[in-house]
Amino acid sequence: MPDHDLDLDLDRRLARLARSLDEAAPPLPVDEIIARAGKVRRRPLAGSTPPRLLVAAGAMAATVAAAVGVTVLFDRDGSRPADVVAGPPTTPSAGPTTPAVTGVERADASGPVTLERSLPATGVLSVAGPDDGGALVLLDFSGSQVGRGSPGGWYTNDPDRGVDVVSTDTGAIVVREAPPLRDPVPGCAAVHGGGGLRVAAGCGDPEVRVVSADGTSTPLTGAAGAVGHWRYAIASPDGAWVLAQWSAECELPVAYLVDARTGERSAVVSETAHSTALGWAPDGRAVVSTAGGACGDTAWEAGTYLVDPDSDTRTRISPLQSSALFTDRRQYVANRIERMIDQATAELGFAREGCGEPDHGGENVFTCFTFEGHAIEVSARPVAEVIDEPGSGRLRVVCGSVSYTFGEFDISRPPAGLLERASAALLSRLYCTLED
Amino acid sequence: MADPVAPVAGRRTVFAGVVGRVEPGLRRALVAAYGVDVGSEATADALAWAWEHLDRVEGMDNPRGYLWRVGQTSARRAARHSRWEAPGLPAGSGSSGLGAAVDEIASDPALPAALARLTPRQRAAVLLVHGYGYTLAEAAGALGCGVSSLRNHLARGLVHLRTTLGADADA
Repeated sequence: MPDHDLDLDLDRRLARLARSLDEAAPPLPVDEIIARAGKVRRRPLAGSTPPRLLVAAGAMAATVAAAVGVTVLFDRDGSRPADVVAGPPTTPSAGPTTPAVTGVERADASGPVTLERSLPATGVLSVAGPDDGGALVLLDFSGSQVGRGSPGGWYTNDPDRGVDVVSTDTGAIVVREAPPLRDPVPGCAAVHGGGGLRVAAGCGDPEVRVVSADGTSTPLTGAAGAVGHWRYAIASPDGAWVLAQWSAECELPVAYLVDARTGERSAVVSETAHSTALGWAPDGRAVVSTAGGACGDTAWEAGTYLVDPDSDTRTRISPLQSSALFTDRRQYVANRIERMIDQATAELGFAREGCGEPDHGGENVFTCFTFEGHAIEVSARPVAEVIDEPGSGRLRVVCGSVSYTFGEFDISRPPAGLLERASAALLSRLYCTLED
Repeated sequence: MADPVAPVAGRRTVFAGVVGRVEPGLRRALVAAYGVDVGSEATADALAWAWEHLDRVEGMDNPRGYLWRVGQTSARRAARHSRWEAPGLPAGSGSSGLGAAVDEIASDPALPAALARLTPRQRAAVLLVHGYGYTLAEAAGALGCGVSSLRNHLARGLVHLRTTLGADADA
């Protein structure tokens, strides 16, 4: 059928459908609306009320962002080695090593997991030994078991990426790989952000690098041995430390803690111990798993530990080795951009109640956060779908692979500089590279 | 002593005026975006919110756009775990009292199915402009966005719609 015929036909069909919709959804009488008013109760978003300390920290961060701009926030300390690289490193990475599994097709998700009690928002995924049936075990950060299941042919490839606990269409609870939340840095194998610090590893040279908002990077620490490479590095929640994974000779994993101000590093267990860097507990302790193996010693008793980087005190929370940290995503299905904004607002302590709600499904996001007493509206979408709104009073920023549009929710003319300050604050925790 | 009924009656008159101005576009946009059931509920929620915040709503430049957002929040919450239903064809529509509307939509099932593949904003833009005959400015006002943005949603929606319907027709 020619296009114009299709269009004429389409207009006619749409008009007929519109009439039908008007019949199916008639106007509600005014008195019914008024009667309904008292019954409408809007629930705040789950977890949207931040702890008081975080609010204070967020406000402080926002003030700093307003004063110094986004780029400066990523450059944390002038004492760091100054050989700034213009643009991201381009040498292909030696590449992280992945556990070689031959003859087994990896499943997308684990087998069903049975919860024994309420699952925390985050925790540790451990793998029981063969004597214990090789089960997946979900632990809270005190080491208490909260769930258990069968791997069902699934295993974690990248401990730094983390895993999601999700519900399937059939209602079963399973574990699967979480999507990467940070925009990649070209030429680097892994990039992570936390506490305003963005770090990358596997960028060609065996270094952990600090990446700025403009995409330039500086080395934080160099090779940990004559042979090997850094697989990934994860910034602590306050940005003061970096938990980094070195892959030594014989593919021995060795976890290191690196001081983010000085670049000074030390092996968490020992330079010859099989130790896996998993990430950070919410209280700022590093989570590390250690075990004996064909290579490496067993300086510590095998198991999962929380390590305080400041005092170097360690707590063994489980005798089990662990694979990754998990996030409970059963109740909250979110796309990648929503998660990035979620983490950024949580890190800054910005409330998200009162307006908007994250989209569920699709790639776009419409949400809000509270900044300087104003509800700031954010819509975000992959850059491939950028929509300009000239003269709209909104502020659009492209950062990494995402376009963010900032506006004020209920005031058409926001106070001078409000959107610039709000966007600078949020972008400082999105760990992306700003477009010129 | 002041008569407490009088201010309420006056407020009701003001609110009826607001409803008269914003309701048709709001309801049509939300129903187009989220289907008959969720869209109708979202419209009622948004208007109930407007009654509770009437002073604020009266002071707004574009109350329709704001209430669209309020309705969206309600609709997203309701639709969180469900796909968009073809408008007018909710589950069990045979006994839903939709009468002739259902018959008419059921006679052209390809169109709701193709619309279901658009984003909520694309659906709303397409139906407001091509179904209800709104101007671009009117539709943009109803969706709380600029005309250029509306034009983008509309263009993308029509391309997807033509592609889907064309493919169906060729099949």
